Amino acid sequence: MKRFFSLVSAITFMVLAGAATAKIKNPETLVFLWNSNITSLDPAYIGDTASTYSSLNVYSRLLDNDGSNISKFVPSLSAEVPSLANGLIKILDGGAIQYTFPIRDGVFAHRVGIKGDDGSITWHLYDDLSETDRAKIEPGYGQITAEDARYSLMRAILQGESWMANAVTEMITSGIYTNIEKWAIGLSGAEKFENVDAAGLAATHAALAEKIRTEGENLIITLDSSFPATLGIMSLPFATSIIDREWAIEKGAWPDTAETWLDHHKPKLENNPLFEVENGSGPFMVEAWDQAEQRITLKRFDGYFRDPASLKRVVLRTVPEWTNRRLQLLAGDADFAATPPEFIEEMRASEGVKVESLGQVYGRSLFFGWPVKAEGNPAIGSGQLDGKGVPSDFFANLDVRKAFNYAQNYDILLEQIQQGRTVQLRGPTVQGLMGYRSDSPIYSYDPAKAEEHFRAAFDGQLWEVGFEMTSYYSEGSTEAASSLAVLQQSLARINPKFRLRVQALTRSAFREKTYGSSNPESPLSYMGWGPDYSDPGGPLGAASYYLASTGLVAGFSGDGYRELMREKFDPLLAKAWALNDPAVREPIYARLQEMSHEFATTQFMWEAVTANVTRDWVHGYVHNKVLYGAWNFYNISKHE
Amino acid sequence: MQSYILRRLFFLPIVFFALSLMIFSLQMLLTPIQRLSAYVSTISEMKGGQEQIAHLIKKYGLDEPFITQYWLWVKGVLQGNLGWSETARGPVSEVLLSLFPATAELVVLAFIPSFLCAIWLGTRAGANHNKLVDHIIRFFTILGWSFPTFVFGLIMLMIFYGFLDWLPPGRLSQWAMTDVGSSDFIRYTGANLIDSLINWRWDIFFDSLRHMIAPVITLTYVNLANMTRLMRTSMLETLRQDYIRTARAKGLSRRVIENKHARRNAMLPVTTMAGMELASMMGGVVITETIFDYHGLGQFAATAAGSLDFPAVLGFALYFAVVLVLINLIVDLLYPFFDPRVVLK
Amino acid sequence: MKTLKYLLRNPLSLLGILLLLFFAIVAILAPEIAPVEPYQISPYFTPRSSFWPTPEPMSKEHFFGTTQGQYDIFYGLVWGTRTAFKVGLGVVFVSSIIGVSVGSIAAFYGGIVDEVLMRIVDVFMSVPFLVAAMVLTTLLGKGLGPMIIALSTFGWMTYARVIRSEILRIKEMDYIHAARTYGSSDFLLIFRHILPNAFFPVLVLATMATGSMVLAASALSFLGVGTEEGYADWGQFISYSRNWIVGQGDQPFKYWYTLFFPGMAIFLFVFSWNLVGDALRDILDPHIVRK
Repeated sequence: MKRFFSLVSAITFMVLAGAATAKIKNPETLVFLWNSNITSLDPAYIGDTASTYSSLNVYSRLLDNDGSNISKFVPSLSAEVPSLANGLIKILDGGAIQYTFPIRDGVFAHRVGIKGDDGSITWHLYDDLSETDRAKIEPGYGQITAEDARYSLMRAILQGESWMANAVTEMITSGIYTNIEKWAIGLSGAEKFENVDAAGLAATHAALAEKIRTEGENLIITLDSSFPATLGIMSLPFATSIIDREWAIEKGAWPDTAETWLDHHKPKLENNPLFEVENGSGPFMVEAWDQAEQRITLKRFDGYFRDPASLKRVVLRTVPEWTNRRLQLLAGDADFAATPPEFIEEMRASEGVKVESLGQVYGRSLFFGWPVKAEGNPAIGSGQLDGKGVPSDFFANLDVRKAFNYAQNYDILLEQIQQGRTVQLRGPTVQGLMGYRSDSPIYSYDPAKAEEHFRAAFDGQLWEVGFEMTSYYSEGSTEAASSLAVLQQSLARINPKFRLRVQALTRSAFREKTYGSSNPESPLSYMGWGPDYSDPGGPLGAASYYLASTGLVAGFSGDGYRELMREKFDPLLAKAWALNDPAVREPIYARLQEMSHEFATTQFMWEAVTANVTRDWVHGYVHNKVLYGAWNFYNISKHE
Repeated sequence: MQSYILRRLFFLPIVFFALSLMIFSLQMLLTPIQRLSAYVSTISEMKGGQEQIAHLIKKYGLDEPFITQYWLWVKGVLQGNLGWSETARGPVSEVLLSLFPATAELVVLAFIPSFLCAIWLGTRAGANHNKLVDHIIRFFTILGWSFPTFVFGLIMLMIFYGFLDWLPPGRLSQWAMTDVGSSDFIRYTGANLIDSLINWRWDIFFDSLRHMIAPVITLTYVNLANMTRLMRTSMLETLRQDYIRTARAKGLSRRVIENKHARRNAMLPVTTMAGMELASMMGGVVITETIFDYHGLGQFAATAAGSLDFPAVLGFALYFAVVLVLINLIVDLLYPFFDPRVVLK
Repeated sequence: MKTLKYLLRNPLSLLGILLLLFFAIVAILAPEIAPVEPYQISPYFTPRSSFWPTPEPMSKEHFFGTTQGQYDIFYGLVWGTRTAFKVGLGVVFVSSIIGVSVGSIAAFYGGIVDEVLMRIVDVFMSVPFLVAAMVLTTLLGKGLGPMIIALSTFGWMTYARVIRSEILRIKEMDYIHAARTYGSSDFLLIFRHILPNAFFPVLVLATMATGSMVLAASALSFLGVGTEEGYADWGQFISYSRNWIVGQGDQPFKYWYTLFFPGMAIFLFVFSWNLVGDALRDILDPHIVRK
């Protein structure tokens, strides 16, 4: 019996070993297994990271980030990066700023238009055409010109669908209007967007056209006042991706006139003509998108304006089951597997697998809400300070917030839950962003101090009667469940009358508890937010997201939080945003980071860190934090 | 006969109506923001703030009154449009049509051995009531039934894929997928086994078969229990009938009695249940599909249910009702062939 | 009674009864066997000794080891016994009440009432069970209550059918006709004569269903809708084992205990109810020779 078993295990070991060191399967194809799904191929429509896996590789932008640097840029469709030095950024009289982007010559899209003998244009894949055919390409049809760039930007702004597209609007109007509808209302004086008449719509279009125009081969963007994050926005793989105008119009997208933009404003996903077709100029084309099988196949574009990519194909497959992804990765059938954080260390120890830690620009925190909805809110129990609930303005009390922050056991969070992979979050800004100081004050686990603050709160009444409340997280995250459980345990250990319930909610229910009304239902929620460009100011910057009264966090934190932000933080934010010199701005952002600690605005927990778990024959990934881990497949290659 | 069939089929629209009304009204238990669930897959949408959320609610008409929303949906269905599935990023009818062959292939392939095994095991168990064989078979089948499907599936995956690399997950290998997607391969039914034969691609046929073995075995083992148990009970009852006693008295051997006489008659109630099992499996076997990365109706329906993608859930419910009514009808029509005493009313 | 004596004599059903008794004792004595830690919010939320993600093997502190996130398996199984009884008996109770009411009314009144009610049963039967349960639990949230509601809402139909066919069968029997001839009221007929006899098959059904409801609950937990995170529920614990069945590298079954113990608990529970149910059915069968 024993000999039989040892024989069996010997064979299995051999086979297993053989499997792990197998030769590279599918040498020219990268098989990418993940648990997400692409929303749409229209770059102006999307706002989530998963969809950028296609838009980043299929479409080009005017600029790209320089490798992993989030504040430096390299030219892409624009032949040069505008700067004051090379004269492509000009400050005009009255404070307006003008950016000139000279569009590169000889850039083709995946599909080009050829005029037939009957005068009609048919579209063909550029790669499939012979030299002689290529000479017959109708100018502008499939060639990327300044007009295409202008059209793409205007279309994205006028469509106004995703918050990223609206960010471009905000940029164009230097922060005055956060989306095109507000702009139309502002210009026409109407009460609501539905009431804006044709003249108002035309005026809006005209105002936009003024700001984005072409001059020969140059795209000229004029902003009324400075908006430091402009170049950053131009390099993001969202609304600033460049589409071929002639092709888009033929497919049924906005025909580039003032009268028609309303018809193409905020379309439904299925009514968007560019939902499942693409014609970008990026290094990859979409070969097939099988929605039922949840598989998207990218194919190399040989006519790319730079050298063609090394990979011939990239297949992104949605595989919801982790064990399945893992086994496919170990067998070599997959080259990348999206890995839950608990398994990163195990995968690191696996044969043939390479794990690369990626720092991210966002952090995970517990967000306090005050005041929360008072009526019929199960989260606050009785709604009174009677030991069976909490008052709706529980977290308005600074002592309570500080006490909660001292009660959290950050050591357990970092050691056991994050397994030593990251550091504590010091505030809205993570390391590498302006305003980050490695010695800024943070909270540490201190039950004694926590008790002190709890006793001080509500004149000692809180300590006597205790409290009961519910905190929420969006289901599916073990880190969330664990971090709240740690807090729950610590609080109970400090005072057994402190009962913090932890509840998982579906995404939609969670959204309701946080964003359902102007005052949230949830007093304490687990979330994580990060900026979309490196500048901490501006509407998509880290400091604004967390500390502006009109920022993202303020949106779901309640009137009390907004009041605090208005009073203490807004003035400094405005001051820093109005300045230009980084040497003067940096200390202000550092001070803001400190203040977030002083006022215990949020319980900052850890800087997010994800990991790329791939086979060791995959090379070339360059991590840029501002892309949130999205892969640029251009530089990827498979070899020993 | 015809009127019987018609009468049964007439029931379908009633089922559709009642079913859709029931599911639709569940939707009304939710607030508009919660109904947004299917349309917004990630939490990054919150970066747009309250405005973005309000805009999405308006766009998809999620705060319209119940009657309006329901009527819109009904109107669409009558025109053949089942709506748009946000979770699948496509029209519901298209998604159902493309996933149906996958699930059908798998289920039919799993049902046949499952049915045959259940008949055989049930016969053996029933014929040897309370003897060791009976106990072993009962234990074995109940074990399979109470063994969570995913455990069996994962162990199969680990051994036959992780260790031996014989039976990979998914429907096809990467090279086969590329070939099937190319213009040389013509899709007729969407079922890989059938299509590959028609295209005379035996390599794809065997590749597809290879991918199906593990899920088929998992499904078979787990589904055996119910049918075996019923067959056993039915066999027990049949063996006590007078005509069996007569046959024994006439001196027929045990084997002949069991296999020729008792079994066929005992199969009747099992056939009804088998029909139910088949129909239920045609609704997708979500756990098996999830474990083996086999994209089928089950996974689609579960994802839609979890995201509250109501057009998808409604479309799926209608599909399932059709399958159920059709299969039950077929089973009832087959009944007289098995038991001449049965008269269809 | 004769039934009880038969149950106790038959070795298999005796085994079933003993197992059930064992589970019942564990459920009752749960606070003694697996004491509640002081910082716990509720005894049903399994304590975590630390927060490491990887399961720990069996030890003195953790008799059955821990599952991911360091939930103590032993504690979860002991208190999970209570949950299993709650789910099984709860669902069966609610669905049998609904089913028996609907079925009896249909059988008794016949005619159009019968038609309508049976069509309603058919509509419910055409609902894809798992999908419907998922939708309902997604709507109602996670937890024991929503799960019981979801499972009963789509589980009562069989009871209705069974009781209806039994009543129809008995209604035609001679002793009922006899009772009617000497003036028994309808109400009395139902309660004193028909129901007690028609009830037996329902009882058989109920005992089997008690076990299978626990299985259905664990399927729901696997799909992500079920009890809350960390709840002492066998299905929840089995779904935790999901990512650990494939062990690490060269140690394939390293985390076997995360699967084995909850799996055994579920299996034995279902098995015991099955044995008892089978025995009850044997009693029901007039052809079986009882010694």
